Amino acid sequence: MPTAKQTIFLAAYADCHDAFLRYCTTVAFGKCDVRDLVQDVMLSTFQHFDGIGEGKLLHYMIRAARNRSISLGRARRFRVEALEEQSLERLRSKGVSAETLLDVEALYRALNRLPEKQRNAVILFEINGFSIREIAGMQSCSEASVKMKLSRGRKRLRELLTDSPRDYRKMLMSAKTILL
Amino acid sequence: MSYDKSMEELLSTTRVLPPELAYHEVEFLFLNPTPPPPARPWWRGGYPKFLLMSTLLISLLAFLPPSQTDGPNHQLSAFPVQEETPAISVIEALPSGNQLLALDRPEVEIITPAVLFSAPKTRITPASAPQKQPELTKTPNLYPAPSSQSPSKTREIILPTPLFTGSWKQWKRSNDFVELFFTITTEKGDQVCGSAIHLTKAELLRLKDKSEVTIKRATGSMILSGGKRKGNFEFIPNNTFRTRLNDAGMGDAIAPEDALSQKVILSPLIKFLSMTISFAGPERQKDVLWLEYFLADIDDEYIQLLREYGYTEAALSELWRLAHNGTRRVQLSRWLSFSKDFFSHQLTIAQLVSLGHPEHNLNIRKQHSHPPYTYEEFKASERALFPQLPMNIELPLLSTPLIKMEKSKIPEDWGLGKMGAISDTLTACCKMNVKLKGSFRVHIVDEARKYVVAYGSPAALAALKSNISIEKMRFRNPKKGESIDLEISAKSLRGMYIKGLSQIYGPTISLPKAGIR
Repeated sequence: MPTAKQTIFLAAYADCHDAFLRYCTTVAFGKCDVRDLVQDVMLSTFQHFDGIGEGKLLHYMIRAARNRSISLGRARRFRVEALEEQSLERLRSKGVSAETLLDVEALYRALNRLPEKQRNAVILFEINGFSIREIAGMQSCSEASVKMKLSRGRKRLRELLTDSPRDYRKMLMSAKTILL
Repeated sequence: MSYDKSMEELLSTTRVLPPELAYHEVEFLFLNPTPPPPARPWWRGGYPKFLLMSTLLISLLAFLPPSQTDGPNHQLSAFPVQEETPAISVIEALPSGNQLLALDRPEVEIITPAVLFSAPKTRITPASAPQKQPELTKTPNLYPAPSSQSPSKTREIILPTPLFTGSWKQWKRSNDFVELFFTITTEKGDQVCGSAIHLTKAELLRLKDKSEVTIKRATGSMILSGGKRKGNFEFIPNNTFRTRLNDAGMGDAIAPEDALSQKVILSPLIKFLSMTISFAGPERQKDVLWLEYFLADIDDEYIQLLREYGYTEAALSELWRLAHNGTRRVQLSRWLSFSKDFFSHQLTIAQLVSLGHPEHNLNIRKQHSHPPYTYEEFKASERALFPQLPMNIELPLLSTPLIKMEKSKIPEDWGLGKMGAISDTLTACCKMNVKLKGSFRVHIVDEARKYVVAYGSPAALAALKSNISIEKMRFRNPKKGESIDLEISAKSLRGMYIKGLSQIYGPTISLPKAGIR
């Protein structure tokens, strides 16, 4: 049975669930297991829950997820393919079509090739739907800086998605995994 | 090759993606946390790998052949090493004389010049090389050639000789000035000089942050080194400015010879009692006076201010009095403004200095009397306005603020030029000047004081010096008519007990609570 504090925490977390999970899915792709990431962040946030201001929970969890994903990614950098397959398999079990999974995989791989700051800004703005002001608050920087990161990130992402040669072997392997 | 969908399409697809974990899964993960994996033993971590790799690297470096750079490089060397040719072995390898007729020619003795080890070897230049260096056309030498004695590019900077060196110690500090206590090192020993030097905010910050600060004024530069609160100093005068002022009749050369000879600094606590009586020696009076020019920050603007108030070149010959008094430009401006309003004629600089700080009693003066005055009338009105002052204001050379003293126990035969017995304690909490006449014994109650400056004739000061203990000054004046001026520092004086046959001309103090009890 959860304690009273855990119940309060879970109730506060319920509002942040979708945005937080979407962010975690993106940043954990090919780097670490989402389950590990989510669990670590949840426990860490629960420990500091008393010190987190009202309405700041999602921002705190996203910052924690970002930092934790970097740490986990360093430890598990040699298991990229297995982690990607695991993540895609989990999405497929949620009813996502194979074509969508191919799109998602291509996008996530391109995102993983972006510099860290640009990637974070693009994920938060384009995928999570945060405003520039919110992102600036999360990253403790100016709005102009966020705009610059976004602009550069978008440009680089477009280049990666259009011009870069694709790894057909990996794509075929992932398609095989999805279809079989 | 490009992906068949645009970035925007891919992003929109991702936005509608369902979360990888449902809420109940997250809740389960949160409520049932996986125990952390057990820590790996040390032999499973990176430590053995590091040891192995470093051992391999060291062994590899040890077995590496020496590099070619260890040997002589014939191409780069200015003195190429003459390789020894194995002449004997070559001769032995030659075929016999019957087969090589060319070798039957008579031997020609080849005389090789002796080569000194230290001299570079002559090289045979190729035929294509020019036989002579073409003569350069001489261009006019715009810049002086560097002297052969100093081939290095760095120029040697010769600092001028400092006028005074010694140590400094921060005594008092406020937001806009810092008071430093100087100990000047001379040939005769250490001399003490307590002086307030006003620094700008930038200099104060530099003094706080840096170990060495140069205080630049028109009269010279003072280099303070050491630390935040104490260190060494060097005072380097600006000789150009000094000469200019002396030529104009306003410098230290105009001051009379005995302007500073009567000054002595006595500090019972720090035991400077047996030090040399004269401050820095009589031969350096002018230098001391120039240091006071520096401390008072006298520059062209200072002189211009005096000129604006009508002081001519002749009047400005007494500029040294202002320097000796430590009158800064701000204070001088107030005095000049006051003298312009209150006096019917222009005061001399000596009179101006003797006023002290007349603006302290400005309000009382405005209520009771009406300017303008002559200097004599002003003095008389001062006695009339402030009858509690038991003094004949004959301020010593270093004047101090004008006073408001409360009369309490004042003996009838005490004051205003009459000899008398004194057994009293002076209490004050700011700078104080006392003029004593006759024989007396001084006991300074305040143990926290730093020093006492005494003025007097050399004979009187010598007598004072011989009868000084840590906290008491016994003065048996050989000549009853002579007087001693004592200047007690502002911060230190809380009580001064004077007993003896003496005469106090004027404790010149400015605080309302100050008085004689």
